[in-house]
Amino acid sequence: MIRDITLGQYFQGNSPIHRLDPRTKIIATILYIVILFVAQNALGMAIAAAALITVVAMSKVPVSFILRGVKPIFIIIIFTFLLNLFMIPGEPLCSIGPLTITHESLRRASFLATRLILLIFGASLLTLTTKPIGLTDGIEKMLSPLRKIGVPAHEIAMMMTIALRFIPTLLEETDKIMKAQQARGADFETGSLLKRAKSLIPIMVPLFISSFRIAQDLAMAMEARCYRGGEGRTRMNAMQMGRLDAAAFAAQAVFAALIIVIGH
Amino acid sequence: MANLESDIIRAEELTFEYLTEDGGGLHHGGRAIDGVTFSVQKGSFTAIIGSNGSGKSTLAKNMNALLFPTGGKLYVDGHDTTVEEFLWEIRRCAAMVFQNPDNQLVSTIVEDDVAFGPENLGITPGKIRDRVDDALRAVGMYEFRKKAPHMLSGGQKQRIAIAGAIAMHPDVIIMDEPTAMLDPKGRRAVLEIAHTLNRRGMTIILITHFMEEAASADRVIIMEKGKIAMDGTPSEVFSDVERLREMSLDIPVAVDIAKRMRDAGIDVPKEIVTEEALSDFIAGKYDKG
Repeated sequence: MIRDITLGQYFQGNSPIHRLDPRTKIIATILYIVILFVAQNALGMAIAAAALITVVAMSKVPVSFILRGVKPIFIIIIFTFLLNLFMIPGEPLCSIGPLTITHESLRRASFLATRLILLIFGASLLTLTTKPIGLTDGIEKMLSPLRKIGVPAHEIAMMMTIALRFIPTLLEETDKIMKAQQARGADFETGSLLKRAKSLIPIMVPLFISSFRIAQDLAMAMEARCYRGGEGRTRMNAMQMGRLDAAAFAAQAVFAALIIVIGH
Repeated sequence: MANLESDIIRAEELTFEYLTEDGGGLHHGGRAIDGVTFSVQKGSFTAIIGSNGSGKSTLAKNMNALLFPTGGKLYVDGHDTTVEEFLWEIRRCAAMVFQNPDNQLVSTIVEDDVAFGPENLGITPGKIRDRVDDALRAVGMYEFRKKAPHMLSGGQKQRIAIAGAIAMHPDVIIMDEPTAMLDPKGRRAVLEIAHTLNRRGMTIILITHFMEEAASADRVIIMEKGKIAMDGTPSEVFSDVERLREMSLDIPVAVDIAKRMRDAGIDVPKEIVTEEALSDFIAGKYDKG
């Protein structure tokens, strides 16, 4: 069961969106988020939403799949919406008991909620259509110019790769330790929250120790395979931007211009 | 004396001492390897066996320059392992496969993991691709190249680790108890691959505590308390059953049966140490009638 978990939330596919260079997608996501905050009127929001819907349709990722991933965040969106709805002063529209909704607050609250929804959809589309390894490679490449000012680009990317690689291993380890403790009478399911939290300590300690052991083993295996940092290292799959990426950048430029001209 | 040209690994009075640290400072933790001299010929299949704490794993790590001799000399392909400028060449030349299949894979995709070594060597992308594909085919895992390691069985993971070693184009592959954590099926597959590689000319050093695996090698070295206790062909080493028992080592099943047959008056040649050889012998003897 624990072996079947997917890493990140990548959705296997071969759509044009999947085939884009990870760097193109990272840049596009950042640009999209910025543009969402540049758009100030309903028309702007509509364009932003339309753009996202187009990209989702192109990616062929089922909408239900995206929704599943963002469900937990809806509570925060609703909370933010309500807070804004009742807290922003302005010309009163109607009031429920002591709470007053104003023209101003309704407008601001709905814009903010739309923005957040689009933002989360956009960002999750990035992880849905890009393999974790592609993301880390993309981040490494994009951060590498910053190496000159001391940003350890290669190390950051390597850490992310190893973390992704060892999430399932550590999950298995946790499972093993829990079963071992349960076999000796440990109880993780009943009692107060505090009691249950306390019962996790006998899991955390061995897990911590074993992760150090794993780290030591892995470091040795990496050294044995001639790992000596990012210097002089080549990659099998050298990333290359192609015509598809050029098209994506062009589309983004048109989208940004549209928002700035009409939606601002 | 052995021919120096054809030796891939040569140890001269090799000694290794672990330093242990406690409140009082550094202490000598006893000699894990104690003045060992031997050499391994190119193209051979050598098994190193010994009970826990016999120094066999420490020896493996010395051969890959992960640990450095505290006394004596160790040469890998003629290079002294303590000379820093040869460090990376030694690690490429003497590739390692470790015991735990999980803790030696770096990447989230099989083919990326196999590429890890060649990438570290700074090889051009196209050539890495060729090496990775060849290595994955050599271990029969080519169809799994896009899979995530955590979806594979222990034996499959260990085959990926071997592919990672092959992709470095080493002169010798040192396997440090590669089958210890595997089920019988995975164990057989890994041993099979080791032999296939050896037939194609790769030098293999297999560290193991399974006597059956050692019996299939060209040469067996038995380590005890940091020293070489026995060194010879499997039939030479395993014929001294009393000595093996003294060192609390198991005896290969075939050797045990052969001994019992000899005790019962059947003339079984001493060379028979593997189950295959024994079953062939028995079949041959009784077919003729």
